[in-house]
Amino acid sequence: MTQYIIRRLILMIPTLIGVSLLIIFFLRLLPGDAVDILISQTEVQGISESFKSLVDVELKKQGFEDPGTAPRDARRAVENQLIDARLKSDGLDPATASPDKRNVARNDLALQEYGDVIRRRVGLDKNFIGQWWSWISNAIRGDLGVTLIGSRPIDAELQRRIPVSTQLGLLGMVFGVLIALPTGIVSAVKQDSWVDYAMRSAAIAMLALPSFFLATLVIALAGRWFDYSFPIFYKQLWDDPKTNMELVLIPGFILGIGLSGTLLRLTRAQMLEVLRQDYIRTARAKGLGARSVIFGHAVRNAMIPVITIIGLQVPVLIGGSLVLEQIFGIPGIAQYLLVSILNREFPAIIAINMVVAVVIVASNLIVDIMYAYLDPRVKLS
Amino acid sequence: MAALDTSLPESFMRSSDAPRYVKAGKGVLRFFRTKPLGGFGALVLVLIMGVGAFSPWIATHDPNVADLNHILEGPSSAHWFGTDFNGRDYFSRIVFGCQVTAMVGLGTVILTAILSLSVGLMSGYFGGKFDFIIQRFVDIWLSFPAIFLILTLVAVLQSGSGGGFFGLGRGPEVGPNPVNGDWFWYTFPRTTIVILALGVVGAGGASRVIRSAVLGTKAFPYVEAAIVVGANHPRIILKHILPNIMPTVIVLATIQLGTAILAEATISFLGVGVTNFPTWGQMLSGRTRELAETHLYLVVFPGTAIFLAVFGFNMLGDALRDVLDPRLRGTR
Repeated sequence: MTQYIIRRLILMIPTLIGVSLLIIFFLRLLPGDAVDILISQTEVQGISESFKSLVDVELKKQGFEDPGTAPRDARRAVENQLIDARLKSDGLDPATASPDKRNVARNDLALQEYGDVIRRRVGLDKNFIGQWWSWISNAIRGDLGVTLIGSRPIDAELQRRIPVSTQLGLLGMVFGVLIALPTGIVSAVKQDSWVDYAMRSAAIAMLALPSFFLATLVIALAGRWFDYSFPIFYKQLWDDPKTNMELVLIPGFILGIGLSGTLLRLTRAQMLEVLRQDYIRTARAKGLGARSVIFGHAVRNAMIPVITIIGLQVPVLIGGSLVLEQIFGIPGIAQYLLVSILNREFPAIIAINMVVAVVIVASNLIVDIMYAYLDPRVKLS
Repeated sequence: MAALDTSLPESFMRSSDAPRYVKAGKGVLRFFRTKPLGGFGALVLVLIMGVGAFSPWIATHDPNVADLNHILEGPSSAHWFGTDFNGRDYFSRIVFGCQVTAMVGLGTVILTAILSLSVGLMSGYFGGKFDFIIQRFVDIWLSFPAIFLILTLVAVLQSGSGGGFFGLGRGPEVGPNPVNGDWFWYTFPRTTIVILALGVVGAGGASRVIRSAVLGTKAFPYVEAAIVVGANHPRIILKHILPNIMPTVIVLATIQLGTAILAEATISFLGVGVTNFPTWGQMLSGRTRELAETHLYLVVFPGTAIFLAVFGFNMLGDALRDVLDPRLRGTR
């Protein structure tokens, strides 16, 4: 068993390397002007800072140990030099250029420097493999980089958000199981009755019901019928359990509904499979009651594949929480992805996708190990 | 000597003599009778494609013209589904939303089919090391929640001004009026990007299903016989294996159609997909959500449209699976 786990852990490594290569490859597909778009959206502050740093570099070259303490005229002279050079390269005569033209040149210089800083930070100045290597070596050391705008550390943000998403995901899983298992078992035991048909149709309906539609309806109807509105600000579970649960319980339930469609169908299929087995007939033949046959013999065996499928639903749970976190204003990891995508925060997009992929690969591994543990017939090869 | 009677029993004659379209018609009728919910799904399919193709003639109003004298009116005889917060006719917006739904649905299914068939057929047929390596790539593909990958891809492909990726760019933010204007070219860049993202992401899981179907078919003696006769690989794959996994492909495509429509609605709702044309997901987002409490119909109409479409395709897929491919029962 230990050997099996170790072998699986080693097999995880190429998958994770592939995952990181894929994400960075996607972001490499970006046309070169994506950084320019980003610049056009940033505040003036960052841009004038970058002109200052450009001058600082030049001052250092001229022999000033600490550019911050350089005399003002030296700084002014360097600024003028840089602007003159830029004007010349634009085909203008620096001596006769109007102050407006000089301002434009100064701005262009600052923008270019700002863009270069961002490209360096994202790694776009290197080739694909170089960019990947610098990202992955930082990530292994626990440094997931900083955001493009504001330079906020991404790992701190993730640390704040991961527990929030975990809570929502676990709630969704619990609700999904609570809905799907009893209905799936009843559906199988009463196969081809109207109860079975109703439940099976309901299962397909649950798969088809968009969670954002359901969530919007719930919020609207809660306001209409009960004059109730959900809390606007998220509170941590340990700070304010009541507000927290008020906000998370309903999204968790909606997440569970989405999950239960798949689970119900699987539970039913597994139960039907088990109910056909000889040992069930034996149990009935020796005079056990229906309840004892179903719960003592059938359900226990049918649950093995169901448990593993629950584990394989982790991507569905994380994906489903995207919409729900957005609608209910829960500051989880999926909402962070959406915000990052809308703001074109590429370092954050890479980090979030990577963290989620690690969680999914790990949960697949746990599922496999559990399966091997629960079902002795599985060969560990 | 009496002539040998070589004629077949009459009942057999009748069924084989009937023209093909009659037999097909009978099959369709039987499908509707025995699988009413599957038949409902087939109707939904025809309805969405039809309304999408003929929406300029079905819509009662211009979906983009704001009439500020008639904002937020409930359903009436002038506006069947009411009007939204800009006074635009809600029915016409739903009708035009069919276009994006139909295009994205069909495009995604075709792209997914091409990608997953080529990967699944090759991987399943050649097996061995090749299969192992390809499957590790599929593993990587499946290590993301689909919607994360879709959102990331759409965002990347839509980035960049002007030309953008493959010259697709984002297309105009506000364009000509879709009733008379060239609406197709107007939404083309964004629709294509959504289709690319959905198709590429959906192909990972679909290729697994096709691979296992190929593995099942490969074991049959007639494939062995074809190898013995000396048929080459393309011939075996295209003539002997592909026709036999077709039922699986059809069922998969039907269910994918529902999944794609749901995914498109989700990203539109999040404000990422086809943002310059009325779509069902987009109609549920933004101000609609603020107004939902007082104007419930704003939520109910587009939400029900998405639900019916996805529900119908799932039911159709389920029914087709029972009829065409019993092997797949209970896989989803």
